[in-house]
Amino acid sequence: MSAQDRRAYFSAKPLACASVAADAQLVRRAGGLVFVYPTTLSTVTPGVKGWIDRTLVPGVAFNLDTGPRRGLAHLRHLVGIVLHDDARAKVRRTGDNGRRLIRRNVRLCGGPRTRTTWLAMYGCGVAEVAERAAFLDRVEHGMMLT
Amino acid sequence: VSVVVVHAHPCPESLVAAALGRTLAGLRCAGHEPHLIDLYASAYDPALPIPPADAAAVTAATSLVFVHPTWWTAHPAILLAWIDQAVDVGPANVRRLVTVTTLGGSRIGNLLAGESGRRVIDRAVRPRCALRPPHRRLALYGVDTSTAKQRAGFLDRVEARIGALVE
Repeated sequence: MSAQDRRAYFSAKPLACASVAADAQLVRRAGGLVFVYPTTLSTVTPGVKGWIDRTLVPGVAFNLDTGPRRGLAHLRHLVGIVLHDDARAKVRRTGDNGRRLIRRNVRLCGGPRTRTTWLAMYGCGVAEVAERAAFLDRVEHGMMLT
Repeated sequence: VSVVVVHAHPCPESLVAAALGRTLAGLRCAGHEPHLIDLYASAYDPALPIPPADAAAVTAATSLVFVHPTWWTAHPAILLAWIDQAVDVGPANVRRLVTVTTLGGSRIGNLLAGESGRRVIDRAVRPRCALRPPHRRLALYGVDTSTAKQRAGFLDRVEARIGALVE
């Protein structure tokens, strides 16, 4: 988020940058929002975080003036396709903050009809070719269902 | 004894930038000479390695202080990128992790939304520091609806307490 983005954030026109405004328009019309990222420091990559900060602004994801209006209530699907270097047990122990950020915080902006689908692969650092292929199949299959 | 302060707010007129000023003042008052890394002001580029002077400061640091706004319950992207590089550099001597931050929502609202940023430091960064330092926070919740008095009180609290939180 640049100084220009930030200064516009609480103004009447919070989308200061044209490419971000185009993304926000896509989100407004979308039926689903899918995040695809490798887990870094237990959370989303800086690229994903920057996109959330800049695109999901007041008037897009939520509204500060009219109370808790859910800006993303039109979404039918909120999906995470996520890679973890660590094994599932270690991720469970240390916490999955990317999942928390999306399934709690972003999900709070969704509505009663927003369904969350989470497709994660664990232990990517040591995964065999067959395991990778199985995960990719699972992603394709999961996205057909959603 | 070496304190590294990392700042990540794009606007110099912001409350977080004011908190940075008071952090540095509090540290100097307590006899420290903080090494400041201002990510926006120095046009930090995550595609390049951390500058050698900053990398040396991280290696030697006994305290790491993060001064940042909390957006979507977490760190700004630029700070996430920097921390990811910094833990690879190796904060081998860090004995204290300190966060100075402002959060738009209330305490309960942040709790419901998951406080993922706080947990990133507690659970992902702390274990990557050789000495497993404790994480202390100075936070102003509900900054979007705060009064001038609350903001002034926060800044005073930062300056008064930061010296005791670092080592």
